[in-house]
Amino acid sequence: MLLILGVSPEGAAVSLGKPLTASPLLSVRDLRVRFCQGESEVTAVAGVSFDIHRGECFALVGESGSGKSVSALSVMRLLQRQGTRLEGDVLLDGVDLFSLPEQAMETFRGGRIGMVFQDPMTSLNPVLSIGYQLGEVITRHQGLQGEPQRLEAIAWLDQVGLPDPREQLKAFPHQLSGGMRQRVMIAMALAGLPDLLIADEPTTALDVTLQAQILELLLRLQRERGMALWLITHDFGTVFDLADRIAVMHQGVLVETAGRTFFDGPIHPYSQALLKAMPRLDACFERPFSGSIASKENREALLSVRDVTVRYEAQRGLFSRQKPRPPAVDGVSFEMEPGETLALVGASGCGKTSLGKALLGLVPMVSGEVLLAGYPLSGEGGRTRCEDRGMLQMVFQDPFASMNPRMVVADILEEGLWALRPSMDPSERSDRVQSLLTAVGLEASALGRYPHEFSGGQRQRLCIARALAVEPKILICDEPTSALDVSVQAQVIDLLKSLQQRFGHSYLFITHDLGVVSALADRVAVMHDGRLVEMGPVREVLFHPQSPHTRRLLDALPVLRRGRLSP
Amino acid sequence: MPQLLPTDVFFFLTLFGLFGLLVYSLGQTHLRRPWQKVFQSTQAMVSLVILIPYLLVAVADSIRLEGVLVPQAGEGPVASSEPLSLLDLGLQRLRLSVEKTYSAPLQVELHAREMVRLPDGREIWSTPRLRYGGSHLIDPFKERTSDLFRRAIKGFFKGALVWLMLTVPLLAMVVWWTGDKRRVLLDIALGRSRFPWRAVLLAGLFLAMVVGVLAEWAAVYHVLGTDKVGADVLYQSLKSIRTGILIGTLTTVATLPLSLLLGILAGYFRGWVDDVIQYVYTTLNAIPGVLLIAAAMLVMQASMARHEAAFQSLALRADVRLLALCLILGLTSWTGLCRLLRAETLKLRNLEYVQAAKVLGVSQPRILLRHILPNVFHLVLIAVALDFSSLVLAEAVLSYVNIGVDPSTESWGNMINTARLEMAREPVVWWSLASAFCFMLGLVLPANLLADVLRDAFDPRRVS
Repeated sequence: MLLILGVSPEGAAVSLGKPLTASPLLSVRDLRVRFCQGESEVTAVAGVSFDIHRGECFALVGESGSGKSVSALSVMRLLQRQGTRLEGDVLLDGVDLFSLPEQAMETFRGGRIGMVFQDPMTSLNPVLSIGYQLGEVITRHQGLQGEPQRLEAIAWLDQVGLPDPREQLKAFPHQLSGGMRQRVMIAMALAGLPDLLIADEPTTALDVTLQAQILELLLRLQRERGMALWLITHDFGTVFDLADRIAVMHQGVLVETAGRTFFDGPIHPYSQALLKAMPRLDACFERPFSGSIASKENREALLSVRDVTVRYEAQRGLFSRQKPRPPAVDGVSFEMEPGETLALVGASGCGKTSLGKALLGLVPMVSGEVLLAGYPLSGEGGRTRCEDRGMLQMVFQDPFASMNPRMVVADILEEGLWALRPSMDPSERSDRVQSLLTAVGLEASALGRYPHEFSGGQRQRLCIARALAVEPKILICDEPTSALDVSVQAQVIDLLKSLQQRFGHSYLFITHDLGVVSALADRVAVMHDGRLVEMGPVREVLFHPQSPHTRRLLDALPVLRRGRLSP
Repeated sequence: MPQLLPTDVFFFLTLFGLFGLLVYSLGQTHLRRPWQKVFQSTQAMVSLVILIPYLLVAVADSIRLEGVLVPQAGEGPVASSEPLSLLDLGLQRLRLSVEKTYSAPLQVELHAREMVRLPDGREIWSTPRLRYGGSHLIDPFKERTSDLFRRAIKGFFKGALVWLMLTVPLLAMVVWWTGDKRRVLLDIALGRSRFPWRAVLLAGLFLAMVVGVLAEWAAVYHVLGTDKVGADVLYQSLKSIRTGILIGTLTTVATLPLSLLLGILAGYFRGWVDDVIQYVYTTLNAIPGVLLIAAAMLVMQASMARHEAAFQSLALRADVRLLALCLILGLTSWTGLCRLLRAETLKLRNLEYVQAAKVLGVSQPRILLRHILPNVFHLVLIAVALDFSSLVLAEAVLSYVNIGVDPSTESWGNMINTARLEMAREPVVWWSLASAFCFMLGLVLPANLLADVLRDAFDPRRVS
């Protein structure tokens, strides 16, 4: 079936007309993209030049807002927004893409240049079957119809490693998992037999354990087909695994372009800082080992969780029946000490967030008991909910959704004090908020501003300040850094550490990123399918894992981030 | 002596409420930007230029005085038996110049032929002269066209003069406020100013001239003809404005508490609260609206008949019926907005800032008031603006099937209802229908255009 792949009329024409010299496949010269809206003008890309050769993997690395995705979209001429100004030359095999008529460009898109987007959930049409959507691409770019088209589609699904491709043709996107959907997206991008595949953050929206598989697939297909791969990412781990050449983008310009030697020592200070900020697995050796385990018997547990089970019911209603579902959290028990940091890790869907929400009372527990400083959190005989809640606080994942856009920062920060300490003096309240704002590294002028005026990292700082305002004993952090850029991530982690030293609270740190765990945690608890499969001090778990699930998480970590002492 | 009918009270309360809301929202930073967008939109501002006179007419028609002296034909002024609004007093001539029956717009004779007794005793089959319309003309067949033309020109210039008297101080204020005289005026002339001054002023000029001409004609003619009992149709149309606007605003106000409360509660608490509310509004939606309104109006009429003593004057009775209609319309049309609000609240309650508030121990009512309500408010604003025009139209439909406002209340629906029988006459009587249509269009079209701009400005999903 693979034979069919070679028979492409377009591909043949290309190879005949192609000069034999090593001229680059894609050549971008002085690309400039500006967005104009009224009188204001934003430069997204400010004069970028690079080449991509046949058969190589070119990685464009940068933080959010650096203009990397905009560059790719402008090469594809997909930036149709009003007021977009494009300048520069983009040559694909000697053809100037910017001067092509739109009709000719359409055959280039998907035909000569394929693209894989970040989110497989939204890039497939939910009402059409996989077979139909893939078949459409094959018909359009290879001219196949009927049975040959079907065989070709099956061949492609087989290529991208989808099990039972014949059956999957009939499936609809919602029946596939995220990883499978991304495989289908890759099959669709490749079915047009492109010379260049643009992959824009192809693994960011996927679960950690799937990321490695998708990257492996991309690499294999690129080598087999000899096409060029333009990888756009913020993650140096991915780049290290795949890229032949690396370009680092910062505020619309390329600060450095290098080969594999990049990882031996980047030249530009920005690339150096970026590479250094990336949390590595061996980070736990660079900080003092907390020896709290030895004195464990003497100390009273701050939080003890006993046999907690959480189950989400289908929505309860007067007239709807309930169907029992498997529990999201299944009999989890652990203890936490004052001032310690416990990391709760696991692949997505393992129940780590549900456990966190159950502790906070956001999700009801089916069974189990939670004692906070010796008192039960819920049920009879417990103290008032009001006080309990003050002792447990939460920092959320998405800094853009975690603050009410209609409230100013002062109100947001004071809200918890209003609710939990109603008798507090107004001047004392504002003093507390002021000092917290300084503690998280923001200026007092922030108080009168609205959340949308802050960047993602600043918002996360505000969220931390909001949680700390009511003096919690335990702060539950649900992936607080995963929505942030690498350099900002490092700052937030440092902030969390210094705040812990100052206020002495504990962290329950929910994450899938073992690098962050290593940088922050004293102990690690690994969850799988709602159960705790392994728990122990951070060095033990990360470097002498006992459970196969822990090992799988570790394997999913890109080679670069495993650090020197990787097992 | 001023007198207030129940609808007047509610109308003024609504107006004050809306004004307060506007002032409040202009003070909120997150709402100020959308408002700026609205104020900079030519479409919205020109619509307002047309809507504001409508509103002024409605307000003038809601301020009533009792025992006003009214000139009586043949005798001295007599205190009127029923309260008269400022609009009635302003349009005294139109109100009192009642003809015998139908006459076409701007005509000087009745519409249909009838037996006329000549001074010499003979009877002929002819169209007699009107009592008021064009009665100043001696030979109407020769003079009418030139008289109309002369008056039109006069009205044209009068309108322009009034416009100038308003515009010059306004512009002077703008110039004084901004400083640079030349540039500001040039910007306005070229349409470059941020606030669409040029479009607004031109729309104002157009409006002033049209009103000028109409007023000049209305002084001696029936501009839009007369109806079956000889009443002036222009006067009826103007009186109908209050009814239309009242139904549009009061009904929306009546829907708001229900849809806001139930929508937010259903979306926030889910569970059985959601079930109950959903079943209520799906059931309500399954009953034909007209049926429900008809039933409610009949019940209301029956109970009014039982308590006759409480409704002494005709005006009061008609007014209570109008108020009841607004309430009933409101009670049957809250479901659409309720659904929207429920869906939005469902989305909001899962957002992290609501969860964070729960974790912080913020009480439920406070979460609803501070976190949910302000974030669904744009939906309310959009829905209110869109519903307004559909309700004005609904009144016309309901009056057409005789379950609308009281027959003695002037309304576009009643005008259409009485005109529909005359459509079959030969020669056709078209003006009642046409006037109601034009006046309704003049209110609903700008209201819709304004609603479009409001939706674009306040809908966060449309923000680029």
